[in-house]
Amino acid sequence: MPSTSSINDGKLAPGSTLILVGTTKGAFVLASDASRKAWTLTGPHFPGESVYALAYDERNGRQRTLAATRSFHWGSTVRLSDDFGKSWTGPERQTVRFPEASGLSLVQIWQILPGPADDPDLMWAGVEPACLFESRDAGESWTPVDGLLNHEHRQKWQPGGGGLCLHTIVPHPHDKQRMLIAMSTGGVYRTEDGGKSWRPRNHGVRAEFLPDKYPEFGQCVHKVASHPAKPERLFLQNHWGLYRSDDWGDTWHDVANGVPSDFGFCMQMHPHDPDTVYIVPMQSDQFRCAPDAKLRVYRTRDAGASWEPLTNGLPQERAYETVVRDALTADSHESAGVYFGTRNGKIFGSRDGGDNWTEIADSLPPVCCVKAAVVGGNH
Amino acid sequence: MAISIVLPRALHQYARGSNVVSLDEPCPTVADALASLGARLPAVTDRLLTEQGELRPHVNVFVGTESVRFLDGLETELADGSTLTIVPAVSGG
Amino acid sequence: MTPTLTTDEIQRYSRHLILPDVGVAGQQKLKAARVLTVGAGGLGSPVALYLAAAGVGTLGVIDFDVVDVSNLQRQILHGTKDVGRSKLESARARLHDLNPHVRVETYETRLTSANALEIIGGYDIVVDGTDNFATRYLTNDACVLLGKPNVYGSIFRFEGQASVFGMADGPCYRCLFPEPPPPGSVPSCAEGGVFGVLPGIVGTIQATETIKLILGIGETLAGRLLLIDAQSMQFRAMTLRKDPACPACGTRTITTLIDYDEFCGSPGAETMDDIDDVLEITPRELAARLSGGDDSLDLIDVREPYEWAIAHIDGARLVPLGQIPKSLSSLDKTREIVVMCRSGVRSADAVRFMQSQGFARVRNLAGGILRWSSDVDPRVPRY
Repeated sequence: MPSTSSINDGKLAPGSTLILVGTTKGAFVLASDASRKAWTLTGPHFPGESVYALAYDERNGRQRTLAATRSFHWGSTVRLSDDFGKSWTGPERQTVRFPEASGLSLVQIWQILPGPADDPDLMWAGVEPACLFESRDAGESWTPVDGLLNHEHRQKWQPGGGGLCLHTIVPHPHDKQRMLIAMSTGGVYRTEDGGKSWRPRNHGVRAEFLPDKYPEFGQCVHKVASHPAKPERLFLQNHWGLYRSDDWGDTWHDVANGVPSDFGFCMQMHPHDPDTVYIVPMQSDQFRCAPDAKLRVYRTRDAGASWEPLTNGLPQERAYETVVRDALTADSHESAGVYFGTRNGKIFGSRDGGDNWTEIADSLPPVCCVKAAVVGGNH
Repeated sequence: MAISIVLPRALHQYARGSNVVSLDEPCPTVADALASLGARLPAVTDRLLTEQGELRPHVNVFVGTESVRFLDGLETELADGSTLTIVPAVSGG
Repeated sequence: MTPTLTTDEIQRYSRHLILPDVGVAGQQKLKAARVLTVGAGGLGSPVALYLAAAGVGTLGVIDFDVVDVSNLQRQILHGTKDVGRSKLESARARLHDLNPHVRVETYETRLTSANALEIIGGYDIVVDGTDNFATRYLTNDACVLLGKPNVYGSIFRFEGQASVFGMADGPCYRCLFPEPPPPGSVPSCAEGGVFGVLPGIVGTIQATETIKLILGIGETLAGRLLLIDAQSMQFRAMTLRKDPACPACGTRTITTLIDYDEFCGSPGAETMDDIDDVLEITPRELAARLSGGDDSLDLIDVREPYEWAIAHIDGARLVPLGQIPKSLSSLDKTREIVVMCRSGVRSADAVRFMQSQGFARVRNLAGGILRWSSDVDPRVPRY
C-alpha cells in the first residue's frame, strides 16, 4: 500500500486521492491512498490569505496544483505547485489583470478549471468582477475573454454585498465553440462561437428578489453542473430554486422534488453516472444553515425526479453548518468519493457515492472550496 | 532628482530583497514615483495599486512623515530627496 | 487622594525615586493609576510586566484564552508550567510574584460592544494589545467615546507599529485607517507568524508611553505613528493628523458601539458567498416607482452626516450605519424599506443586519448614490 505521508516529500503514488481545501485563511491538502481510509493533512499553505479556487491538472505530463490566493493587502493571484503543495511558485507579476481601459480591477478569483485533454495547456478562470479569463500556458499567463469583458449587459449585472462573481464554467465536452458560464448575479450565459458572443440562458429560472420574477438575465445562480456523458443536460442550484435543462440551457424547469429547501449553494455531478447529482440544501437565504440543523446531502439518481437525504455519518442535531458554492466535490474512483467542507471548518467524505460519511478534518478555518482528484487517474 | 521608497517587508520578495528603492528620475508627484517604481519593479506596484492605478485599501503612503491622505493623495508633489513610506494596516498582538 | 508609599515600596522603587521627573510624587501617581491591558498575549505580556514592575497601582487585564505552548516563544508573562491554564490566572500569579503591591483585576471575556464601555470606563488609560482588527476598532471607538488615552501597538512578522490615540486633541486609529477591513482573511500572528522578540520591543514601547502619560512627562507618540522594522532595526516616526472627517473623533458620528465582529469579518461573520445576494433594487427601478407616486417605500440612507451633506436622495432619511441597531424601533417592519449608501457596500451590511432582526421587506439600493447619480439623476454629485 503506497504511503501518503510521502506528500510531505512532494510525491504521491498513482491511485492516491487528493483533496484540495481552500479556506478564508489559507489552503490545505489532504492525501490518501485509493482506499481513502486514512488522510494526511498538509498546510496551511498561504496562511492568512483566502483561497476561493483550487484545481488539479494532470494534462501534458504535469502534476500541477493551482491555487487562487487573495491577500488582505496585496490583491489576488494564481499560484502553482508541481509537488502537491510542498513548494509553490507565485508569479512575479499579477497575472490575472483587467486591461486598464476596461475600468475594472480584479477583486477575487472564484474558479479555476483545466481545459480539455486534447488542448492540454488551456485553462479558464472565473473572477470578480464577473469575467472569464483564459490561459494558453497551463495557468502561467491569463487574458480576459473579450466577449464577456465587453458584454453589453455588464453595466446591468448587479453586484451584491459580496461582489459580482463569475463562479461556474461549463465547457461543452465535444464542441469547443460552446461554453456556458454562470455569475451571481446575472445568471447563465452561453456562447456558441468560441467566446465572441454570449447570450443569457435563464428562461424559467426565477429571480425571487426582483420585481420581474422571470427576467432575461439578472438571476442569482449559485452553481451549474453537467456530466460529459450528457453534456446538454444541465442542473442548476439557484438562489431559491433547483432546476434542470435538457436543451443546453435554452429552457429550465423545476426539479425541487422532495428537498427540504431549494435554497443552497453547491451542486456536484456523480463522476460516472449522468443521472446522479448531489446538493446540500440550506434552510433559507435568511438562515444559511443546514435545514433543521441536520446536515444532509441530497442525492438524485433519476436526474431530479426525486431526491433522497444522505445522513449516515453526518451530524443530525445542532449542525448549524453552511456549505458554500465550491465546497462540494467528487473524485473519479470507481466507487465515487464525495467530499464537502463547511463554514465551521469540517471536511466530510464518503467513499461509496454518499451512502456513508465520515469526518475527515475538523477545526479548519471556514471552508470556501473543496476539489478532489485521483493521481494518475483522470486521463 | 532622488526619491526613496521604503517598502513593507511583505513586498521585499518582489523588490529583489531590498526594503528601500531609490529612484533618480524626475518624479513630480507620488503617482509619478509609483509609476517609476512600477517600471522598475512591476511586481511591487501590481500589489500596491489596482489595475486602475488606485492604492489598494488599508495601505497608506507617507511622503516624508505626512500621509498623502492629508495632502493631495497620489497627486501630492514631491521634492528632491523625498522619502515615500508604504504602511499597511497590521493587527497582530 | 494621593496614596502614600510604604517602606517596602520606597525600597522597591528607589531607582525611580532618585530619578528626576519621577521622584516620590511621580511614584505616587503611578500607584494611583489604573491601567487596562486588552489582551495578555505577545504585546500584553511586556506591557503588564513593566507596568507592574514600575508600580502602577491597579492593572486590569482582559483575555479569554488559555496558554498554549506555541505562545511561549513571545508571551513572556507565561511559563511552561502554565500551559493549559487560563492566561489570566497565569498573569495574575506572575504579576503578583513580580510586585505584590499591584492590584490585578482580571476580566475573563472577549471585549465586546456590550461590555467595552463599562470595563474601559473604570480605567485611566487603555493599552491595546489585541490580535485582531475587530477588537482594535472596538477599543478605539470606546476610548474615543469615553475620552481615554489608547496606547496602541500591533505587530506582523518582523514589523511593528505603535502610537497613542484618543488624546483630546490627537488623532485616533480611524484617522489612520478609517474603514474597518472587509470580511475575509485578516492575518494575525497565528497565521502570519511573528518574530518572537518583536512584541517585546513594541510592548515595551507601549509600557513606556503609558508611564509617560501617567507621569505627564516627555513627548508621547500622540500624533505620531512609530514604524519598527526589526530586521533593519529602523524606527521611523510618521506624522498622524486628526482627520476632521473621522467618524469617531472628528465628526463624532459614531456615538455607539456596533457589532465589530461582523464589521471586520472575524470568524463567525458571514463572508463573500453568504452575502453576495442581498436583496437589491436598482436606482432605475426605484426612480420609476417613486416617480409613479408610489409612497409605500421608506428610504434609509446609512451614510455619515458629512456625506449626506454632500449629496442625498430626496425623501430619504439619514440613519448612519452605526446607529441602525439603536434605531430599529423607529423603522416600520411592515413597510418596504430601501437602504442606501455611497456605493452599496455599507448598506448591504445594514440590510443583512435588518433582515436578521426580522425586517423581511428590506432591500439594498444597488450601486448606491453613485449609481443613482449615473443612472437616474446626474445632478446628485458624485464624491
